[in-house]
Amino acid sequence: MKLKNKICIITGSSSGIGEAIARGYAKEGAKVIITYNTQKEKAHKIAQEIGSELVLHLDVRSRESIKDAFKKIVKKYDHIDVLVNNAGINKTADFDKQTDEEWDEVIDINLTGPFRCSQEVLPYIRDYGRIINIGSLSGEYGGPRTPSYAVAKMGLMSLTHNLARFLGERNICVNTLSPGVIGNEFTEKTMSPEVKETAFSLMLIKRFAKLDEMVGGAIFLASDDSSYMTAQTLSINGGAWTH
Amino acid sequence: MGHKVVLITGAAKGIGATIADYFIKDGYKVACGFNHTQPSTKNNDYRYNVHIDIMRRKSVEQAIKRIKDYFRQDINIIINNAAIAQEKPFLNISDQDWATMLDTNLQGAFRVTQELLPSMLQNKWGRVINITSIGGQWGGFNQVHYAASKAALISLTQSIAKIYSKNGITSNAISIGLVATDMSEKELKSEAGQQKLQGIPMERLGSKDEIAKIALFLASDDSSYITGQTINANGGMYFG
Repeated sequence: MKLKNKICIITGSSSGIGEAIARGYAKEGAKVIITYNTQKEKAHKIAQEIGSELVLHLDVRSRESIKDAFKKIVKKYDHIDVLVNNAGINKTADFDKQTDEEWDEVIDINLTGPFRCSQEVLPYIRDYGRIINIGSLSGEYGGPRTPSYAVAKMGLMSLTHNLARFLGERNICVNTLSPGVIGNEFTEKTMSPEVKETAFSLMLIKRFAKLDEMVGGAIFLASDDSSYMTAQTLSINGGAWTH
Repeated sequence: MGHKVVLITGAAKGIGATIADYFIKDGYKVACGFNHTQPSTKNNDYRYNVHIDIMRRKSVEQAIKRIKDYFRQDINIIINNAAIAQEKPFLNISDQDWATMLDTNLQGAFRVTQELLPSMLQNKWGRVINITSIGGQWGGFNQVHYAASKAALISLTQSIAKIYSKNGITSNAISIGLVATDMSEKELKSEAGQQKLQGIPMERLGSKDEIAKIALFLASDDSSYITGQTINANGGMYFG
């Protein structure tokens, strides 16, 4: 087991990649804290299934909410080993149609959220701990139909760099895990056959990713196996061409 | 497939030897390639020391045949690790220096990978892992030919990924910053080496173990959707 008794908090772990990572970490022996903003019941159901002892409400838009959640974790477990900044939203629109409200909301949750969580975790995260920011192929590629999302995710990579410099002397590794396109109902519904074709043409492994394929990388970045990796982006995207 | 077979070139000492130890411990059958120095550990069910001169095609062919005979299995994973380094000011690098550097660090990986691909294609599964260096990403002061060879190795990694990823063969590079080995010890005594050390956000060298664990990850099924990438193990010296 690669994460035995490590205290791991994953923001937005009531669904999607966050849920998959939470399940993966639990299998590796971690003490997983499930957090949710709206999906309380689902969060508790997952926690029950994976034996997580702590389910917390955490809204990354609110410093109070973050402080409150971290205090509860430390009260129970004394410290934190791994923070996964995963909570995020997306508002798809062509560049000329993205509204100020959409832009602000996406940046606030996807970029400022991780900033707030990373700052608030500093007193509690142990030396040799890990901060993992969930980026996106969209951030590396530049959209195309997700202006605010792509900018937030690219910004997150820069936050990774800055935080890695700040925490290097404490041997806390900070990295971005950048998933490619995940094949799910949402992708099936929203991607036209033409857009899919374009996506496949840029990928070396010509299929969308399974959620489970993000988990190995997330475990690796949280484990002792990645102890000399910091300030990097681990792209799990089937070899998608991003430059 | 049972226990997979991995060939590690340059496994007699340094990072290669450590990678070999980790793979053996993890249950792989490991062919430890060596050229000049025979590894000190003896052969057994999980370890086969094999002479391979990656500068000679014939030697590569023979070594692969011997490995297949020994383990009675195809080679599933290649870790192109064997490399040379040379500290020399740019103006003093001779044609011969340049040629030898490229022939070892780049063509060596080319030859070995080319010879192993047919069986990987047949098995519809393979892993190519190339050990490269930060010098290949941001250039070098006193080892321009070394840096050029390592940059080209990243390109080879990407090309193999482009051609063969659809066949179940992933190709990735591990790019190393400063790791404590015999090779880096010399560099660290130089002024350029000292400057580099000060520029590491983690304020320490990497260890051979820290490289071996990344190689294990890339060889495993956990990395099945990762291809064409360069995994940077440099303590934050260079951001990728």
